[in-house]
Amino acid sequence: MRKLLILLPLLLCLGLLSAKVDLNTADYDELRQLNLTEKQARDILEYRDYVSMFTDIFQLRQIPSIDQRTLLRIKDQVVVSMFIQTDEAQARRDEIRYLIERLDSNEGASEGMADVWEDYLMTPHNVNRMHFEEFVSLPNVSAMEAVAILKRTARGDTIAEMRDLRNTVGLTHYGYTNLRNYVYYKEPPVKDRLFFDASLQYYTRYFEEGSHDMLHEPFLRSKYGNSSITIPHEKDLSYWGHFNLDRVDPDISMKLRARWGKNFKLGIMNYTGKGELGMQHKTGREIIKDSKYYAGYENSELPLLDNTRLKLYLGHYRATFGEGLVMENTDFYSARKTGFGFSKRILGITPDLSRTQEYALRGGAVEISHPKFNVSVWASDDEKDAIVYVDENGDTVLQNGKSKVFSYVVPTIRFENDDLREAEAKFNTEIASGTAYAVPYINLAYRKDAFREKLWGTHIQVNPWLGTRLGFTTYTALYDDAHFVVPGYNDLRSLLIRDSYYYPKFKMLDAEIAGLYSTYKPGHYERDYRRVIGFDGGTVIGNTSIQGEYAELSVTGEDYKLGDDPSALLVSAHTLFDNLYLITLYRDYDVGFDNPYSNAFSEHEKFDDTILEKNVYTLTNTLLSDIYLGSTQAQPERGVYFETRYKFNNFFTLGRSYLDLFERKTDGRRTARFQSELEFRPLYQLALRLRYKNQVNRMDDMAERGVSKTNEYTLVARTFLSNRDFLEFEYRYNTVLSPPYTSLTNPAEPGNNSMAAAMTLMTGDYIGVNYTHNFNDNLKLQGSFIYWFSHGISHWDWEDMEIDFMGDKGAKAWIALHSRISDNMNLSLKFRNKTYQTKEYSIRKYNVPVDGESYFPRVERKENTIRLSLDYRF
Amino acid sequence: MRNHKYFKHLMLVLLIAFAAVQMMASSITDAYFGNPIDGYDARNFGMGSAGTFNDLRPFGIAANPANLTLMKAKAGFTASLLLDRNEDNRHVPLYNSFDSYIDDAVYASNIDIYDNYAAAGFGALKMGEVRVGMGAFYAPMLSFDGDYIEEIRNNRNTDNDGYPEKLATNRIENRGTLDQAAGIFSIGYDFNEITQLNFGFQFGMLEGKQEFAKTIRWSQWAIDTFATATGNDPNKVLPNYSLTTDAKLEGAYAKLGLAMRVNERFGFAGTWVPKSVLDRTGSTLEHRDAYRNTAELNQLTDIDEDYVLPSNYRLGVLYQPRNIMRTWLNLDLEYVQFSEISEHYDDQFNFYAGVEHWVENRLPLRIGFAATNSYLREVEADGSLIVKRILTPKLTAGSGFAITDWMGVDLGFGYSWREYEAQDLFKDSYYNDKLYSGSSSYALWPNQYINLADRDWSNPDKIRENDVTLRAALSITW
Repeated sequence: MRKLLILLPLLLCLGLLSAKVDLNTADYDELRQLNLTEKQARDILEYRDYVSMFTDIFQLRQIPSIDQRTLLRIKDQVVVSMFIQTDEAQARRDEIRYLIERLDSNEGASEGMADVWEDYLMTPHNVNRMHFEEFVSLPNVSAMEAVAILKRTARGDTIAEMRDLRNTVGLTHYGYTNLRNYVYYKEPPVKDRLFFDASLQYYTRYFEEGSHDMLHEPFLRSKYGNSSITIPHEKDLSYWGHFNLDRVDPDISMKLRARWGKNFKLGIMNYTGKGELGMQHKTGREIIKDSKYYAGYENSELPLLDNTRLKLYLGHYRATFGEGLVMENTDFYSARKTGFGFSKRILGITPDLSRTQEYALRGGAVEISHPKFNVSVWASDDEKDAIVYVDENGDTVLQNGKSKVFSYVVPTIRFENDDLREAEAKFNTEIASGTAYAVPYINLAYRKDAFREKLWGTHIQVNPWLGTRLGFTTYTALYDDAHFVVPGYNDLRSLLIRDSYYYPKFKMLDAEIAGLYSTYKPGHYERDYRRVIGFDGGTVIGNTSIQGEYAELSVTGEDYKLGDDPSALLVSAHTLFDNLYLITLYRDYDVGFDNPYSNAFSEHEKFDDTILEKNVYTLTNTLLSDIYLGSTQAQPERGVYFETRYKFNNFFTLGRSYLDLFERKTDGRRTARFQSELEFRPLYQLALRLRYKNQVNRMDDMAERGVSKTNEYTLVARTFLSNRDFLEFEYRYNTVLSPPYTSLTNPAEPGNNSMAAAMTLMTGDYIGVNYTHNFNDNLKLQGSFIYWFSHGISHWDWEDMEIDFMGDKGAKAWIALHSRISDNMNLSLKFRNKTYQTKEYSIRKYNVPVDGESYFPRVERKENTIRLSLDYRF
Repeated sequence: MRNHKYFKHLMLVLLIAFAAVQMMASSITDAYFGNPIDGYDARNFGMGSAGTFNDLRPFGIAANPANLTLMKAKAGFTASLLLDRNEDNRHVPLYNSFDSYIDDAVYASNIDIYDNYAAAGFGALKMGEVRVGMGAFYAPMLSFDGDYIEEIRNNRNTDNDGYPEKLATNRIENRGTLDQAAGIFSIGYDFNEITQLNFGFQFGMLEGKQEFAKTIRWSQWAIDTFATATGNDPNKVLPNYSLTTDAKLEGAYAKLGLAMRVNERFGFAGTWVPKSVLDRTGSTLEHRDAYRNTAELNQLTDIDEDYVLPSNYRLGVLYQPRNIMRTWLNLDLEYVQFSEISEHYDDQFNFYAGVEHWVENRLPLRIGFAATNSYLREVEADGSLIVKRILTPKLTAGSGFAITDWMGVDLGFGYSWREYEAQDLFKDSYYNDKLYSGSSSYALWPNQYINLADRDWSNPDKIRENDVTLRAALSITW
C-alpha cells in the first residue's frame, strides 16, 4: 500500500514548526525528547502501527499511559501532519463498502453475479462508452434509463461528472443513485492494477425439510398385508441411515480470483457440500474435476473497431440471453424473476465461480459486442450428473449401446457412485420380495458424472436503433454416450412408483414428468442431441420498455421451423416514472418445453406438486425427488403478472406489490396470488410496514380437491434507536382455508375418520425481533429471536445473509458478528440455534393393537448452525 | 484505593475458581482416547485456541515452545482453571405408522461438570540479539472422566398419570486423566526491533490412569416382581452386571516449535509433535451374577498394550492490521496423522480461527471458532474394531482485564457440539426376563408383544452432545 504523508503545516510555516515533533512521523528518540517515558513513547508508536495515524493531538488521550497532565504538557511541542491514504483501490473500496457488503449478503440469491457487479464497482466503466446490455445488466438500472443515457452520448454529448449524469432527462433519481457507483466519467478512479480476492466459508448447515424427508424415506418391501412378514425397523434402510447423515458435516467453499484491471481475469473455486467426500480424500485430478475455474480476456478498446468489446473465456462461464428461455445456465431457481430491479440477469458471457455445477458450462466462449450488433459463440464439454436406468446389479442400462438416462438432476448430495451402489445393493435385498405389482429393485438411480454433454451455442443480435434489439439464440447439446428415454404418461407410473397398483398416486399433473425430453422415442425418432432455438427482442418507447422471447425445443418437428414443437413465450412491459413503476408480464410455457438451460419467470419451479414432491414414499427410488428439489426450470404456466411500487411522499410508500393470475398447464389449476405492502415513515428513524398476501388456488374449481385460500398479514416496526442501533419487530398472522388434510385435522386416535369433514381452517403466527449494534465502523453485531407456531403452514425468515424456512412450531435465535479486520479483510461468524417440533401426524402410531396409546408427543429437533466466512480483497 | 479495586478483581477470580465443585465428567464417547483438554491460556481459548503464534501469555509456551522467547519477557507465571460441562443426549430412531424411519427420540440425557487446573512458568535472558529461555508447565492433556446414567423402564401404559416401572439402572462411571509435566527450552534471535526468529523444544513426561466402570443394577421393584412371578424360586434371580477397567498410562512426548515475527503486521509459527507410544497396563474384570442354569461370570483380562498419541503438525499465522480497535487475528491449521494408530483411521485436518478487538481501551472482545476431529472407537463382539470420525465445531468468546501492568486475568467461554451415531450402550436383550425365569411370558413387561432384540449398526443411537467450557487464567509477566 502506498502512502503519502503531506506535511502541510511544515510547508505553511516551516520556521515556526520546525522545532515541533510530528506525531505521525516521529521515531522513538524524537518522542523521548518530549520527556515522555519509555513506555509512553512506545505506546504512541504502537498506536500509530496498530490503531490509527493521528488526525488530532487529543487522540493521545486514547492511549492509556498518557494522562491529561502529560497531554497538556506536550501539547505545544507536538504537531500532527495530514495523513492521506492514496491507495486508490482502497479508497474506492471504502467509498462503496456498503454496496460490496450488500452484494456479499445476496450471494445466495444472485449466485455468482455478485462477483461481476463487484468487479464493476471496483473498476467502473466509462459511462460515455457503455453499451445497452451493460447498463441493463446492472442492478436497478432500467432499459429506459439506459436509452436516456445512450441518446446523450449518441448525440456527441459527453457526460462529464456525477451531477451531469443526474441531469440526464429520463434518468430517475433511483436509477441514478444505483448507476453512479458502477461508472466513471473522465478518469477511472482506479488505474489498471492487480486485484486479488480470496474467500473461505465454513458452514455446518442442516438439510431443508424436503431433502430431510427424502433422505429419511426407507426402502421397504411393499407387501405389508402379509402378517408373516416382519417389517424391519432399520434406520440404515434409508439413505440417511446408510450414509450416517446424522453427523455434523460442513459445507466448505474456497474461492480465489485475480484480475489485472478489466483485461485479464483468473479464478478458481472449490465447493464441498454436506455429505460429500472431503478434499483430503480426493486425488488432485478429482479436486480439479469438482472445482470451477476460468481464465479470461476482455478488451473494450479494440483497435480498428470503434467502441467494440471483446470477451474471451476459457474454463467455466455463464451464458445468459433474452429472458432466460433459451439459455441461462444456473442450478438455482428463484420465483418471480422478472429481470427488473434487483432480480436481474447479467446478459452475455460472464465468468462463473458460482456453486452451479450441473448446468455449468466448461469450455470456451467469445462475445463481441458493438452498439449495432452482438455476437456470442460458446462451446462446452462437461460430464453431467443424471438419473439413469439401472438393473438389479446397479449397472447402467443401455439403450442402443448408450447409457439410458432419465433426466438431468441437481442432487441434494453428490454421492460417489461406488458408495451409492453399495447402498442400493443393501436396499435391493430388502425390496426384492415385493408384490407382483411392485418393481423388485431400484430401477432409476442417481449417478455422478453419468454422461458427457458437448454443447455449442450462439447468440446473434442486431440493434437497429437505440434500445431496440432483435436477437436469435440457439444451442445444441450433443449426447454421444447417452440416450434420454422417458416413457409416455401411461407407462411412467409403473416406472416411477414402486407399487403402482397399491399406490394409485399418479395425477394429471404428472404429465410434467412425461413431458421430459427424450432422444429416443421408439417408432418416432432417435437422435443424439437436444436443440433449442429462440428469438428475443425489445424496444423502448418513451418511459416504457417492451421485451420478450420466444423459444422452441426441437422434438418431432423440424429443427429450424417455428410452431411445430413445444415452445415457451414471455413478453413483458416495464414503465417507469420518478416515484412509480409498473411491470406487466405474460408467459406461456408448454408442458413439453424441457430446456434444462432455461431459467425464466414463474411462480413455481417445475415438478412442484407432482409425485416427485408430494408422494416421495411411493417412488421406486426416493432420490428421484431431487429432480423436483433441484429443479431450475419454470413450471409450465400461462398467466399474467402485474407489479408496481409507488412512493406517495416521504411518509407513505406502497412497497413492491404484485398480482399474478396464472394457470398450471398440466392440470388447469388456476391461481390468483396477490401481495401488497404499505410503509408509513413518520420520522426518518421510524418506519411501520403493513403487508398483506393472499393466494387462492383452484379459484374456479369447486370439484375434486376444491379451493384453498391463504391469507398472510404482517406488521413490521423498524427503528433506529441511535446511529449505532437498529431494532425491528415483526408479527405475522396466517390463515389457510383448504380441503381437509386428514393428518392435520383428525383426532389423534387410531383408525379411520369418525366424522365427515368439510373444510379446514389452519392458523399460524410468527413474532420476531432483530437487533443490530455497531460498536464502531469495523465491528457489527446482529442478533435475532423468532418464535413461530403453525399447523403445517410454512414460515420464512430472511436472516443476515440467507433465507430460512421454518416448519411447524418452534423458536430460533441467531447471532452474527461482522468484523472488518483490516482494510482488506473481513471476518464474519454466525451461530444459530433452532429448536422446533415436527408435525404430529408424522409420528402417529395407529397400528399398535392397544387403543388409546397411539399418540406420541411431538419430537423436538435442535439444530446448531455455524458459519464462518473469511474474505480477503486486495 | 487502586489496590482495593485489584483485590476485588482477584477475589472475583478466586470465587469463580472455588465455585467448581468436585463433580467429574466429560464425554463417555472418548473414554479410550480421552477428551483433549485445550485452552490453558484463557485468552487464546477465547480466540478459538488458534495460538501457535502467541507472544502475549505465559501459557503460550505449551502450545509452541518457541513462544517462550517470542514473548520478549524476562519471566512469567500463569495458573488456569478449566471447567467443562458436558451434556449427552441419546436418541433412538423413531418409526411412523408406515414403518418409516422419520426421526429420533431422546431416551437418556446426562449433564455433568468437571474441573481441572494447570500452571506454567518461565524465565528468559537477553544477551545482545540472542534470547534464551527455559520454562516448565503442568497440565492435564487428556481427560477420561465420564458419567452416564440410564433408566430401563417397562412398557406399561401411561394412562392415569402413572409412569412405567423402572426395571434397572445402567451406569457408567469413568475416571482419570493423562497429565503432562513438561520442560521447555527456547532460543530466539532479534534481527531488529521487530523481526525475530525463535526455536523451541519441549519434552514432557506423561502419566495417567483410567478407571472405567459399567454396571447394570436391577431395581427393587423388578427384583420383587420377578420373585413373585417365579414363586420365590432362589435359583431364579435377576443377575447384576459390571465391567471394570483399571489401567495405567506412562510415556513421554516431545514437541519442536518455530515462531517468527516478520514485521509489525505479520508473524507465523509451526510445531511438530512426533508420534509417542505410551504403555497401557492394567486389567479388565467382567462380572455377572449367576442365574438359572448359568454360573457366575468373573473374567479377568490383563491389559498390556501400546497406546498411541499420533503425531501432528500445526501451522499458525498472526495478523495485526491497523484497525480503529487494536486487533489480533490468529489462524491455525493442524494435521493429525491418526493413521499412525492403525489402518482404520484417516489423517485429519483441524482448523482454528480467532480474533481479538479492543472495543474500548483494554477491554478486549475475543471471538473464535474451531473445528476439530476425533474418533469414536468401538470394539465389536467378534473383536473387530469400528472407528467413526466425529467433527466437533466450537464457538468461543472471551474477555479479560488487567490488574496491574504486569498482572491480568483472562476469561474464555466455549460452546461446542457434535452429532454422531454409536451403538446402544446397554443392549436390550439383557432385560428379557424370560431368559432368567425360563418362562414363556415376561414377568416385568406388561405388554407381551414387545420384542427385546439388540439394536446393532442398522439401528444405532444418535448422540447429540454439547460442551460448555469456561477458562479463567491469572497471568503475570515481567
